[in-house]
Amino acid sequence: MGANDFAVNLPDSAALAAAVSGALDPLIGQIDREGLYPGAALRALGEHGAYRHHLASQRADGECDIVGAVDAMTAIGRSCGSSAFMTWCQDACAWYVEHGRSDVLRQTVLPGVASGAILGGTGMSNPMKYFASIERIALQGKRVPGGWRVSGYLPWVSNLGAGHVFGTAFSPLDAAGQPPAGAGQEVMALMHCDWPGLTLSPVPPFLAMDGTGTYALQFDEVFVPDDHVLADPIGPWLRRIRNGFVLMQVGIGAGIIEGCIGLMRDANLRLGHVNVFLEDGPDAIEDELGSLRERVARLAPGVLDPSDGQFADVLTTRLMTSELTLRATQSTMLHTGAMGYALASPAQRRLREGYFVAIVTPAIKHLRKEIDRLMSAGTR
Amino acid sequence: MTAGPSPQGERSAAALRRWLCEACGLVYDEAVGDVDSGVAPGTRFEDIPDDWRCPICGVGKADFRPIEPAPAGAARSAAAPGASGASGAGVLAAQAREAVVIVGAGAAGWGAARALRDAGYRGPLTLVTACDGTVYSKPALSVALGRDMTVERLREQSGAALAAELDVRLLERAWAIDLDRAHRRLLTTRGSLRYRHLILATGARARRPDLQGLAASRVLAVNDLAAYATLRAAFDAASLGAAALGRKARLLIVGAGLVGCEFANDFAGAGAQVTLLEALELPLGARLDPPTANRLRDALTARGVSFEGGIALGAFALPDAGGSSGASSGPMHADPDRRLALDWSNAAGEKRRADFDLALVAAGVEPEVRLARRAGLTVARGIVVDAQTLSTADESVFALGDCAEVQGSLGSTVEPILRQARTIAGQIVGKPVPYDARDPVWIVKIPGLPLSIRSARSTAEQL
Repeated sequence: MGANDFAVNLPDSAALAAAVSGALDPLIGQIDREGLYPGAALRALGEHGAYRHHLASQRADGECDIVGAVDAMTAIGRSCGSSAFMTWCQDACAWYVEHGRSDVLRQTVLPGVASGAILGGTGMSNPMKYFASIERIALQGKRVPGGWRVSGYLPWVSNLGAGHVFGTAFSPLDAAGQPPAGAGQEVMALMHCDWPGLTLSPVPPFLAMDGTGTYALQFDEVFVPDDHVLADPIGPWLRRIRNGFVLMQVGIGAGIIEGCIGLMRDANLRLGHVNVFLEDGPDAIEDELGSLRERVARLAPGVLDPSDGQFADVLTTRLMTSELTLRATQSTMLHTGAMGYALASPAQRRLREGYFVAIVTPAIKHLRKEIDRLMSAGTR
Repeated sequence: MTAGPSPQGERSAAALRRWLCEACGLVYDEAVGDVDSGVAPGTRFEDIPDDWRCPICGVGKADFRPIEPAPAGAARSAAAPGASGASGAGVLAAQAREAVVIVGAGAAGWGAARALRDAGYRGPLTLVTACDGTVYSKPALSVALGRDMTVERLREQSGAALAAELDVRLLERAWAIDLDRAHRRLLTTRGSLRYRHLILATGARARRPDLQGLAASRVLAVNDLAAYATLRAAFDAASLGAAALGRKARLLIVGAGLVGCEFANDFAGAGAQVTLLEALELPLGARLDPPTANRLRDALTARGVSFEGGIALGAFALPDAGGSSGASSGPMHADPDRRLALDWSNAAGEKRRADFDLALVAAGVEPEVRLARRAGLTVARGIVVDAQTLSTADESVFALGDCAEVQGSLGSTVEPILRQARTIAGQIVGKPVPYDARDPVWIVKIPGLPLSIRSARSTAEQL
């Protein structure tokens, strides 16, 4: 095996940048205005290594590179925030399998998810909100020979379609049909969109995020075989994967922010003499984005640390990302002025994408609630 | 209308240029093209058909000019050509940075706010607190019963009222999460704040030694009004329950430092049967010379406090079943059951065990320095500040009160706080008032034996 063979397996940022401009950039208008799901572009990004940075088992060097995953998402988000979000969905789905208990899935499904041949999503919004005491758990499972029968309704799951997979959790009911007492006893599994009993319904058209393959999922006695269970119970497993889940989302915001910095600099070519009266100019935002990146780099080595202290630091970094994204996108609108309102202008698209960073799980309010809890408990 | 990449468009990306629409500011990037109008990525501006129009404002090609690439490294200054000296940071941004933010709503936080206004600071002032900002005197808590002070009367003023009086924006029930010192931004659970100056008045928190046993979580520690209100409610419930059984409420206090002795004295005066346990031989043994400490012990005993020194704590156990206290079945039924039994060894090494209706640990306080530590400020026991200016290693961040460490010593009393607040206010408004770091003085508020203690000499004077 030569040195080149070794390198082939490692992600390459220049190749990814070329794939973004070649496969994704031409579609941005359609993604945004027509809700086009860019499946072929997402596969192309995967072929150029976008989704394998953080998957030690899928890399020749056996490293888990969270910073690389965030940087790849940033490179995609610089063009299209919606696609950066789907990149995160893909990364999170792969992250579940990478750290799940199923060797079968690691051998049969994970290589495809890592390369983009299989596209995947994450139905973890409801379970995450359930663990933060914000929502009830949406899915219930009954034990049957060889697996579980799962029923219930998940309102929004993204990056789905025919042949796609996604990870989610359900509450295991006992023989009397009762859920377990206390959170943390749920079962985490990988599901296939094509399984019998699972119906994908289109959701109403979505602002900014209509091209994300988002569906409402109706589970009607869907059979989940035991070899698709990733964790049972979910509690200790969730503590291991939660930092990665949350920290990688920084890449969605960072990409949008980078796009905004470019738009503000462009606007300043004509309007710099008046834009200096605005807060949050491109230099200031760029400085703060640098600090955010440093935080990600500091937290990356502890990505599997199950402690609440580490998680509080990750949540804090995620919160900073949301706040900076909102400031950057708002400031971009103010920098571009009326031109930013044109439907063809990326400024207003960035604004809509930016709000999504602040409301997607964990939303700003969810983050602050969780940090409040951890600080009240003296964890941080 | 379509246009493919021309032969020129296949040149290296470095040769591609960007063009600015003079009318609306749109940038045509030759590398990106204008796909929506059928202009492929890589199309040189010259090769775009002449009928092409700006996709935003509709002007023709003649209204575009090429953007000269900025010299390497100059992209940032090029961003704001009109800024005089602001270099893109923005005129408004500079103005917004006048603000002062205070973290903490104890005597130090409110004291700093008042001192700033007194010193003539007229700019924006925000106070961030995890509680509701109620104004009260902490030293009054451990003598409140003797002064017939209810919890309601201890509340001197609401945070909202004092905030209105001092023109302060009060961000209550907000945790200060983190500090980005490079960009002077404080992250809280209720939004982030920019500051020109930040004042840390995070105080101290009650030390909770590693208590053993199933009932350890029932032991209270009091270092603020909210915890004191819990103590008073629990004491009232225990007193009612005990009275129904024809006896006094049995209160255990672990730790005979300043606060432990004052609480023992206060609750004994209010009719509790108080047991005061201490690892040292004598009350306030670490601060008083033995003759004075003996007099203090005698004063407490005369008050009805059962003092035992030189003890070793065992486990806090759940009380034996039978509900002899009645505390959990009385009118205060909703209150959590705080009854417990404690095992300990006395100075002679004999095993002791007793039941209590309520237990309090008074093991001192430790400075709340976590935010400062996360922000990379110098922290020893407290947040290390300059003895003259009270600024931390970061000149825009100050600290005062129980969280601050001046010349190796911690505040831990009220006396220096207002002087510290005046010093910090003076620094901020540019009229320095150098701080005078005197030894702190502790006043022991026990009727019959009032003492003042100077820390450095560890001597006591009877007042």
